[in-house]
Amino acid sequence: MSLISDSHWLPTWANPAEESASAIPTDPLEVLVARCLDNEEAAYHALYHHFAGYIYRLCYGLLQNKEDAEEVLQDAFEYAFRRLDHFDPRKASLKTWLYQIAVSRCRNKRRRRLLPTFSLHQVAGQEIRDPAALQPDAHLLLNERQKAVWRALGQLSPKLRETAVLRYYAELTYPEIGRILGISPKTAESRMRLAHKALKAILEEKP
Amino acid sequence: MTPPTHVTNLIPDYLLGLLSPRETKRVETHVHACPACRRLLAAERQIGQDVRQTLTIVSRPESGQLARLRPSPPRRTFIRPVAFLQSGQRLVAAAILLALVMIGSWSLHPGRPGRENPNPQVVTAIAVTATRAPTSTLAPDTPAYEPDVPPSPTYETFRPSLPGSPAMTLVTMKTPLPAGTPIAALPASNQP
Repeated sequence: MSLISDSHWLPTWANPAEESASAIPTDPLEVLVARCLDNEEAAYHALYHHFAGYIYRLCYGLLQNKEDAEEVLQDAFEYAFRRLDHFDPRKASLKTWLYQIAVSRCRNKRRRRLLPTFSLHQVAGQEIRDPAALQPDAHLLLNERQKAVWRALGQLSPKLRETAVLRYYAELTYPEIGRILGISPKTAESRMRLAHKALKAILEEKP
Repeated sequence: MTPPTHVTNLIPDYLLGLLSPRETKRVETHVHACPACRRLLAAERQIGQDVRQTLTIVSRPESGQLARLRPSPPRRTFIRPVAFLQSGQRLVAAAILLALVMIGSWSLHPGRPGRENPNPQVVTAIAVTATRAPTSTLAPDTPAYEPDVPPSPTYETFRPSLPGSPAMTLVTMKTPLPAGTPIAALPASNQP
């Protein structure tokens, strides 16, 4: 498979989560990283296009806000491009490494969001926007069950939400989740139990 | 015949992949034969499927959205950085460097036994000596001042002028004396 043209690396946006990494062997990815380190701009583009969908959806699931997810996506890839020479394939796959960066950026974003700030809406006495509220267009795409699931995901604590998204959506193993979140696999398993139990309880409360 | 034991409490862990192979087989065997547990398994599984499906729909990017967000590649220098060392290699390198620094500083230490000091520290001792005759209290920079002590490779002297003070002979040793050596008076021939 040629690595020259960007079009080979454009994922199907309809369901990029099912576009598993096994479709592209790891060796070409390492070759791609090497080409990036040799200052090939096309290689950077290809790397971005291959992983951007996964990272964007991960960020959206963790932050539950489109603008925040876009900002973190850009920030994460800027950081990853700058630190690509520090990527060690013996420690983790490229995808895990990118997820790790994205989760860290999401945590920073969430912490900044908690800082007291004043918006024009607050000054004008208007209702403060709920960061977990669905975008108007997304509202139309979901049925009632899915809206309830989205709200339930927002009610989880950040730690449980991270674990749930990485397990349910990214379908990572517990050692991989532990590496990304900086916890042991056993802790990841415990958190997943708690997340599943909490989601079930919240969803069963809904009429 | 006793009814089979339900595996209700094992179903969540089974779905999350947290059971041992033996327990996993037990759940699968039981669920195959028990409609109630099968319904429960389906309900529990639906939670994970709903999360995945909801996230996929909500976070679907618009056409060209992600391409617009692509950051510019960094500008790298053509000098490739040194290969990233493993932590073990770094520790060994740091230990070697530390040993070299310690060896170097020890070898240069002036107090190290057996090391000859080519630049001995000059010891200055002030000795108040009784003189047989009044000594000149001329200051060293006085034109009439002449040191009457013959030049010596081991010491040099001059007599500083201090008003109201007894005559003093300042003996400046050129080479360090061994520890405990009393400060000797000037030789008699050198007394005025």
